[in-house]
Amino acid sequence: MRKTLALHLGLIALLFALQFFLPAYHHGNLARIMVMATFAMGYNIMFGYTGLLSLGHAMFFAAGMYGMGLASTQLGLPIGPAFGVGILSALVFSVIVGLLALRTIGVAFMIVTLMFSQTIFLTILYFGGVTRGDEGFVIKQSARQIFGLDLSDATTRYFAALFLFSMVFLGILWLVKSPSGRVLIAIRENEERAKMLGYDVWRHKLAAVVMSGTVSGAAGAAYGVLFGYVGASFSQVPYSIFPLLWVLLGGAGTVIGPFIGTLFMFYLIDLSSAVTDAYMLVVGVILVLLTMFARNGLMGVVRERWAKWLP
Amino acid sequence: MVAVNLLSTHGLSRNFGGMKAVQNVDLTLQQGKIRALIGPNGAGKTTLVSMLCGRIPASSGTVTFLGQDVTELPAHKRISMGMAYTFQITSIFADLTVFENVALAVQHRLGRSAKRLKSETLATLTRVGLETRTEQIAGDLAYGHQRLLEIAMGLGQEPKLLILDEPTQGLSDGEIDEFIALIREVSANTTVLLIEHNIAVVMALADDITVLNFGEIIAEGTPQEIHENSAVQAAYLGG
Repeated sequence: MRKTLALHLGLIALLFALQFFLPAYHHGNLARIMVMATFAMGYNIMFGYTGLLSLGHAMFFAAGMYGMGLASTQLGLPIGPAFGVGILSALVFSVIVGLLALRTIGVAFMIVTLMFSQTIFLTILYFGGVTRGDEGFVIKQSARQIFGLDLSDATTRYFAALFLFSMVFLGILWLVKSPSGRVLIAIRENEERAKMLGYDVWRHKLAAVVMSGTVSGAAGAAYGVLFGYVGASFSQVPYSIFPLLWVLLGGAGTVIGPFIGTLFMFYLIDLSSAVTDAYMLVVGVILVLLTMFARNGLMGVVRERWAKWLP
Repeated sequence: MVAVNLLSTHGLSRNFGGMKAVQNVDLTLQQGKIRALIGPNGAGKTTLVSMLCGRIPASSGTVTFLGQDVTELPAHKRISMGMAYTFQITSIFADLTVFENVALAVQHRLGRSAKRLKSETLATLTRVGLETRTEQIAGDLAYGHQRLLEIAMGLGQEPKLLILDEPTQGLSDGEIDEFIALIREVSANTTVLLIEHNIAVVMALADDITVLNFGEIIAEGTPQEIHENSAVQAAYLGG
């Protein structure tokens, strides 16, 4: 337990300290990575800990983002309450999706989540009058103020991202160490057995979907607030695949893995594209190698080899 | 002492398509006894106990547990009422440690007051003799030890009714002797329903025996009575 706390609090401390040293470019990148890692952590609750593979998480990200964005631009709410509306939209939406999608399992579950997400994308386009469709809309700098702080300012933005990231990061650490978290892992490992130990599997799965969707939605809302843009592209297929990819790369079912995966992927593209135009080839080859030699992701390998205690 | 019925079924049946796996079974389990359920392969034993604990729904008939009709209750609710089921085909959390496996069984009973979780989990593991292997990954255990872990998960729930589906399958003779001693000890405060092929185990443990053949109860009685029953001999020997 001591090692676990040292590692996870250490990462937060490191991210805090980095803000004072990083050059502007990487400083901005890291703020974005922390928001996206929050998205990935949300995804990990379902995929990594409960064993539910969703192919439609962009819908939760978008639910949070549009809930916040429309509350701000259409209802004229201040950014704090608008952010709250964003989280609430994702929560309500994930309850609905959970109730419907959990009637299926396995491949059917993947397809149902994929289809729901497409529906959200098409709905955003259909109501182009308010959502501005493909173009999306901007959250003006004047609207992105809270407690006298300007959220479009680089430093404020970094700390806001770090705050969200830390809350979710520590929340998930607490969850997976809690009795309920252990039940989620039991369901992932052997659903029939978990049921025959007296656990209400369906209710736990629904809770996992709701937590996962709400955290993902919070990330979407935060992205809109911190980077000032709300757009339909965030509800499209790539944004359902990214969190899966980040979680797989970093290590599904580890608390720290989603962050590592997001960081790794971001800089893999960033650095390789600085060297060559064929950067996708470099990225592809490295991903193939990782799939071959690190099946459980980077932190999965760390856990197997050196740190069995890694939660 | 007046015999108290812990569980009873009435007209319990299950069809798979046109096949009648279990037909019209009236079974009564008295509190504190060990009941063995025997019968040839394919007699419907696992199907019958699966209906008792809710893994599969009954086609018709009723199941009463603790005086309550549980026929419509899902498995997890019946388990929460005090049933435990150990699988015929070992079903453990293979990637978790031995300790975590049993802790998951104990945790459900203790609820959120998890202070006693560690001590009770260790106590349960000690009963089956796995206390030195707590940190081992369950899937790495030898087969016999996996069977014991499966039983430990049942014991960890401290059930009122413990259903053991062929628990001694694959155990060595020495392990079987320990198993018999363990179940005797458990039966002091738990009712046991035991599906078993090993007749020596049945004779050593059972207070009563129910014999199932082609989904129907063909005989019921003390080990002595069953031993002498001609219908049972016919069923087993194909006479």
